[in-house]
Amino acid sequence: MSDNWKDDLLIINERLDKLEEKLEESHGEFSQQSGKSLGRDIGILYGIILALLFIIIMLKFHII
Amino acid sequence: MVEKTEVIDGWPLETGDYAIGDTQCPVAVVTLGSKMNEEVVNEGAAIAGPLHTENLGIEKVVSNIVSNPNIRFLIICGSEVQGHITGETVKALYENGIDPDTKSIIGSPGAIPFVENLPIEAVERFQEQLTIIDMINNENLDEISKKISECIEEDPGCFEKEPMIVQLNEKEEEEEEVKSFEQENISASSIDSSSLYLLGIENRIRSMKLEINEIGSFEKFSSGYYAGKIQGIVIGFILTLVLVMILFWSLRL
Repeated sequence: MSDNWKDDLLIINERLDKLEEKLEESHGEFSQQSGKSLGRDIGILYGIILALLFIIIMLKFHII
Repeated sequence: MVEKTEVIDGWPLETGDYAIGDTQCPVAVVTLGSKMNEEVVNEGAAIAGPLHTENLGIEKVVSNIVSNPNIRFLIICGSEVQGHITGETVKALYENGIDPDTKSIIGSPGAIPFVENLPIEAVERFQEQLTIIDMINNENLDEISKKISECIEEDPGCFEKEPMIVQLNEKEEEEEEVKSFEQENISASSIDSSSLYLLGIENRIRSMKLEINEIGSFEKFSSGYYAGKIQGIVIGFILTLVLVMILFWSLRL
């Protein structure tokens, strides 16, 4: 194997390492965004239930 | 017309990877690492074959040549065998002979140039009977053919002495060959098994890395889910309150 060939392989390996790092970051970011989106949808439902409960309690005690 | 002699029965005495032509012809050809037995024999040589080892191979060449007095020229052609350097070793045997005590070929550049089974008389006969023509690293069939023709034209006739029969110790040779073959196999198999082990380790590392990445992404998903849920509760609570208040005010009015 020639020296040039070895150098080329080293350069390719470095570029592959960088690509792998970027892919890992993107994968983590994507997971976080999808978790956040699902959590927000479920949170809205919880919020509505809590708000309705709050209003019922206020009505019960004639506050409003 | 030059004088020729009858070739002994069963010539060539030693087995090997060679082709046989006219046994009365004065030319033998060693093609070293190149495989062109038939082509060379078709050009008029008495015998032609490769020579891969600088010990057992040379013993066989010498044995087959000294047992046929008609052979007066040995053409060494074809690509030189790396490591064994058989072409230069044959030349060294012809020019310098062997050490009678150690049976090593004097001045040979080969790795193990020992001809243990050859008597010194056979080597001397080899030197007397032959003229060596050096065409090492030449695979040009036209040039080899031309040289064969020249040798046939200059044929001095058969060697004046009787054929010399050299008994090589076949069993020992075979055992040595088997041993070296087994050793080669063992080393090759150890290389193969180590490569397989390395491949297995690499696969395990890959699967571990994949699992670590999955755990990392699951952790990110969980933290995103928690943050999104708090955000959603606040949004849902405020929106519901606003809507209900609007509804009340519109009913009162």
